[in-house]
Amino acid sequence: MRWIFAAALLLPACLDKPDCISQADNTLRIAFKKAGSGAADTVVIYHIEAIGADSVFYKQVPVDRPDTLRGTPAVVAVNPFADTTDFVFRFPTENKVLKVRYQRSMRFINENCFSELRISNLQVRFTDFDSVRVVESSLTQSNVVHIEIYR
Amino acid sequence: MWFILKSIVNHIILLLPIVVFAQQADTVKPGFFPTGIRVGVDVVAPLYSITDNRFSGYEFSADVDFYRYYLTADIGQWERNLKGTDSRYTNSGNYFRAGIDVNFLKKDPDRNMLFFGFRYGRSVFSEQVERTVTDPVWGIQSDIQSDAGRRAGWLEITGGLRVKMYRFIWMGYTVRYKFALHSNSNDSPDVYDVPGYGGTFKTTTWGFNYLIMVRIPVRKEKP
Repeated sequence: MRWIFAAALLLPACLDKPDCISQADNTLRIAFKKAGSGAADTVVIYHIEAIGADSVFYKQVPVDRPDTLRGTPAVVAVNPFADTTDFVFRFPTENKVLKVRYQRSMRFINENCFSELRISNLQVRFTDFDSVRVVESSLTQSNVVHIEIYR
Repeated sequence: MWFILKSIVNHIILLLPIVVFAQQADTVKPGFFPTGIRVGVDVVAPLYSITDNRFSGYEFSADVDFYRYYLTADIGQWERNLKGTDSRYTNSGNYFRAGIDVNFLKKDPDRNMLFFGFRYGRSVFSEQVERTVTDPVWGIQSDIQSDAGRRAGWLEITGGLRVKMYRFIWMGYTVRYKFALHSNSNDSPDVYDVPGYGGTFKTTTWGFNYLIMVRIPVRKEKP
C-alpha cells in the first residue's frame, strides 16, 4: 500500500504543462471573386488602409502606384487590441469600405510561453461592396480565405 | 527546499500505515450517532505559499462520524500570480468541497481511519490576463481581459489516513484524484486555473493535503 501512496505523491510532479504551440493569428485574407461565375477576380488596387494603424497594405513606395492582385487574396491584419477594424480599399476609380467585428479570446498558455489571442466569430458589420460573404470566421495561421468579396 | 519538504512528507506518509495497523486490536460497536467533530487545517498550502511567491492559499477541513461513514467538508482560498513571456496571469477565489469518506478500519477503538471517499468541489473565482504585445502593424499595446464572476465544479475520488496522535490531536493526509471539471464561463480569457482544482489544461489532476486536526467529542462513547 505504501507504494500506492508514494506513487500518488509523485504523480503530480509528472503533470506536464501545455505546449507553447499556438495557431492563433490576426491575419485576415480577403478574396475577390467575379459576381457571376464566382471565379477569382483580378483586382487593381492602390492600397488598403486599416483605420488606426500606421501601416498601409499594398502601398508602393516611394510612389503610390497601383498593384495588381491576379486572383490572389489580399492579406491584411485586424486590430488585435480592439473588437472591430475598419478597412478602406483605394481602387483607381473608387474607394470602398469594409468594417468587421470579431471576438477576441486571450489564453495564458504557461509561464514559458507567449500568450495567445484567438480571433473568432468574424462578422461584416458594414460594407459598401455589392456582395460580401464570410467563409471562415476564425483567424488562424492557415492560408484559408476568411472573406469573399464579389464584384 | 521543496525536495526536502517532499521527502519529509513522504516519510511521514510511509510510517503512518504502520501506526494505524498496529492499533487494530479492539473493536468499535456500530452506532450511527456522531461521537465527535474533527476540524483541522491543511499544512501543505501555507508551506507552498511560503516557498513559492506565485501562490497564496489556505484550507480548512472538518468531518463528523456516522459509524464508519464520515460526512466531510473543506473550505479554502487560493490566489495565483504567474508571469508569462509577454503576459501576466492572476486569479483569486474561494472553494469548498463536500462528500463522504468510508473508514475501512472498522474495528479500531481510537477510530483511526484508512478511508476512501468522494467529494464534490465548487469554486467561485476571478481571473485576469494582461498582455503587452508588439504587433508589426498595430504597434506595441497592452491589453487586459478579466472575468470576476467565474464558477466551476468538479468531482474527486479521495483516499487517505487519519491517525490519533495525542488525546484530541489528529494528523492525516488526503490524496485527491480530481476530474469532471465544468465551468460556467465561455468568455475570455480562457479559464487557466481553478482554485481548489488546479490547472485546467488536463482533464484530470491530483491533489494532496496534510492535515493537523482537533477532535471535539460531542457525546461520550459507550465502553
